[in-house]
Amino acid sequence: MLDHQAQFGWWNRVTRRVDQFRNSEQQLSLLLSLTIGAVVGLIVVAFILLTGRLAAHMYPAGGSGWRRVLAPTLGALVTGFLLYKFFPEARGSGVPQTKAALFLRDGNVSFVTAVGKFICCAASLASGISLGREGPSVQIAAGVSSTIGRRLGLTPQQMKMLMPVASSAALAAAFNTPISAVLFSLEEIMGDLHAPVLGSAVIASAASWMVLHMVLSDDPLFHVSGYKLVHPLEFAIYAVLGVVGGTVSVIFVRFLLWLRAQFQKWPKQTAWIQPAAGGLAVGIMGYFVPEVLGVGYNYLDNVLNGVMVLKLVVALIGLRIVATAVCYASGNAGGIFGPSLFIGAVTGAAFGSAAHFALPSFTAGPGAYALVGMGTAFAGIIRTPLTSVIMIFEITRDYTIIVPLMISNMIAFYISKRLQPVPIYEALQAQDNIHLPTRESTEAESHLLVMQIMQPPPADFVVHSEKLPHVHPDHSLSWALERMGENGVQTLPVVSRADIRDILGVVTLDAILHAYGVGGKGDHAGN
Amino acid sequence: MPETNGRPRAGAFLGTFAAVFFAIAVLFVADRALARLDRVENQAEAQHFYEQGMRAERQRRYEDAVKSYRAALADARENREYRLALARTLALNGEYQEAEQLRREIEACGDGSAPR
Repeated sequence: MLDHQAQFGWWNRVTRRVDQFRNSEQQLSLLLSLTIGAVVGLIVVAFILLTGRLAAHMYPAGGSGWRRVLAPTLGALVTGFLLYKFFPEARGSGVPQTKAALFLRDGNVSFVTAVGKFICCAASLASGISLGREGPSVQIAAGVSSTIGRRLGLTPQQMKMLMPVASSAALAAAFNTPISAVLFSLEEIMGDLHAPVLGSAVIASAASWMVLHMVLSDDPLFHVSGYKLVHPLEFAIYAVLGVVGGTVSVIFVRFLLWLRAQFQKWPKQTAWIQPAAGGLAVGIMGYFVPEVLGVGYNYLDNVLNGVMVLKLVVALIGLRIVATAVCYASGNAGGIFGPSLFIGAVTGAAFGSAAHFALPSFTAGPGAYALVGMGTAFAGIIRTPLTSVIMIFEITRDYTIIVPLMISNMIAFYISKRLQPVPIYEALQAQDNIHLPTRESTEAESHLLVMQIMQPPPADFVVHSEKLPHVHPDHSLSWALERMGENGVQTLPVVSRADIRDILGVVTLDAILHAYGVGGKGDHAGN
Repeated sequence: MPETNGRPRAGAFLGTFAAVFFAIAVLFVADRALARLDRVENQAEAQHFYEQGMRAERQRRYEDAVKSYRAALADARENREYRLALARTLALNGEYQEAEQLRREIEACGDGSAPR
């Protein structure tokens, strides 16, 4: 008996330590963030390298034109079949799917989906499909981290927290921008810049970025000359670029949504062949203009350094919009994050060329405008204005560009918001009958305060102790809702911050639900 | 997976982490190998474009030479020899502004590395 205890004593100690570790939320979260950051970083690097190598063999630079038609068509045909038959969840970008997993499925993404996304996206992007790799990286990361979380037996709340952590790690590696990766995860995936997962997202992003640099060294994604503001008049010109970028963003988003709606009208049995239509369309464009194929980052350097021929730059605005829209709408696997930047860069370069032609002594070269245009289109299409500013800053590592960038980004953001009220990822989900909270709706809801809906207290209502559940007038409705849930009540007293015995009113569950527009009997909203 | 109260046992918990760390090690080796292969292929391709540019330059087809040198630099951004060849050919092609900018960049990083 004693021998048995001695024999297994060390294992019991290990078990106890493991249980202690599992119960310590902070320790587990730190280890998970580091592990997920490293594993996701390595998977995304493999994804980038494999896609690049395959693309170089499928449509090599200087190869025959027919190859550029056949590669995307056949690539889309094969991946279309795989997506239809085996990986239906791996279709499209990956960002809306990750958001859906976060809000509808407690952060559960299957490992099969992650594998399918990896295979289908690598194949379709390598064959020249005009979509991006960042969105798919987010979904692959979400699938991998969700699988790890399930194996570790995490709670639904912990599983949900893995989604922004994984997406930060994925974007840090896919785009080499660790700060904006964290911002994007909070701004777009969570829809809340104050989310409590910030620390974990930062750790995962840093771990992923370190892995990227250990494998690929410190080579920035784009090599851009240092741009300076030539004249104060340029602020006004950058503001006009914001208007142009915002308008182009809206055109792209509306065209994509319209085209997708048309494809959705096709019979369901044709879903496997629809991507091939996108592949063929982009192949025909690629026959004449090879720059339209693939992610296009290798051509962006030329655009950003102002060395691409103007005629080609102008042609690429329209061609990229059509190519990306048709590829996405037809159901290919790939994202719109990268193409948004490409569309913005060529729009900015064309605008900058015109501005430089008209006012040569007051303006920088087209490259500077291409750079700002990238952020502008991103702010207009993806609608994450803070991420777009920081991302361009991280790409260029140049502080002087940041003020014009902020001006044009904000203008593009507001134009886009005005002309296309529903952001693209939410609009795409809505086409599939899924309605997720947007950052804008979350912000609007967080502005709803208890004081706006509270009612006068009943005459006999008394609060004897501060330990009793209560809220203050400046608390948000979501706070009040949480307190009701915690205490199992449907009415809470609203008390003064100066003296909690001073009852100002009451707030009821009905009134809160009514204010959120999800039912309730009373008529209190906005009062 | 063996479970206690809906949670995996300590062994399974540790096993998951062990599997993930093993996957990290394997992926790291695979990524390094892929990256090395990529670099070797890029260098070979850059050398091919550089030689193509040299031939075009000798035949005074400066526009073609500029294109080839640019393609070479796209694969090997930090190669001083390729950068100098591009600056020289840009000047010969009449693109003085870019040639001068490139020359200044090359001078600014005397060790031959590209500016960041």
